[in-house]
Amino acid sequence: MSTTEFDGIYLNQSKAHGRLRMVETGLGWKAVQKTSMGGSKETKKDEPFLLGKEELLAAFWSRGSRGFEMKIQTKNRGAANFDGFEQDNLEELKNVMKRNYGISVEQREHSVKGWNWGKTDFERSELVFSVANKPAFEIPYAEVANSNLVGKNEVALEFQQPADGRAGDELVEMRFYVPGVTSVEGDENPKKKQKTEKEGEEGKE
Amino acid sequence: ALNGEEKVVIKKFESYKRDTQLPQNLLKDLRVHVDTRSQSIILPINGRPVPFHINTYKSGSKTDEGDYVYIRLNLSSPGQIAGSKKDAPQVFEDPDAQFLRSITFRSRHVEHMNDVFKQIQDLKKASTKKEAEKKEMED
Repeated sequence: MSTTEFDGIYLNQSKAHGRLRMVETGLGWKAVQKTSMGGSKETKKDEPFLLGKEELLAAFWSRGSRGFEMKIQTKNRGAANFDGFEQDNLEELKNVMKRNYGISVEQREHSVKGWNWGKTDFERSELVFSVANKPAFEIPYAEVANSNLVGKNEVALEFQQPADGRAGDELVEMRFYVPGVTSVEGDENPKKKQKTEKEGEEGKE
Repeated sequence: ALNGEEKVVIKKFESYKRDTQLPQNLLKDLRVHVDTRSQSIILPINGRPVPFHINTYKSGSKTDEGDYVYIRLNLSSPGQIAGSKKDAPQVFEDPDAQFLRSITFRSRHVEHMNDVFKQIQDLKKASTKKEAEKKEMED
């Protein structure tokens, strides 16, 4: 049974990096913390993060914060983000994911236009905000502590305060402007739309 | 305008063309950053660096609460009470568009947040000044 390992990988914004180990039956990640003496020792209290082969649904490769990122969509455990890969790792990852789990790693480019308008889509385990048809950011449902309709066209999302062990500045709240007359996908109501248009015209005249 | 009609011109702006242009060295700490070169605020949203061009930024506030400093960034969006309708950006492009209207972060790194908040204000000031100058030249 072959084992593939990647070091210096961060899991879901973890402060500590660790080792991603992939075998035929699944993959695991474990934090490695370097002691001040320079040697490396694995922390005892940190349980490894394990995903069995049967949990894996899809994989995406994109630019992350620490390098390149592989996001794995799972059946029951949300999305797992592994950040810190080198660009050169892609080929090997593709091969291993295919060979071990029969999963293709899809390359996904994110929007970096810097616009704050776009579309939200509710995907399996996260809300995706897309700008000009490219995802700009994702919000896992599990991170949302509360959501409110604050105004007529305004939705507020409050986030879980992340547990210790996460790096960086913490996202507290987001507010979205959602236009009033939106046709729900697959639930178009042409009759109603027509009526509104007609009324609008009448109003003009 | 040339044709005498009042027409709102869509100001095209873009932080980056491709993600390889992101200042990768800045992003590793997953904190809020400002990239002056691209006139953008880069926010860490669930581990992903997400740029917002200064043109989308409207106002902001900073508050201290215990060990944390909070910054709230208000971005321009339609239907806001303050500002005329002309300021509402790009709605006409897609009336169904949704907007990220505000976003709040907190951090224990008080100095970094103070610094970033000042950089954002400075960037906004510079961009507003530039816009005003440009308008004057056009008139």
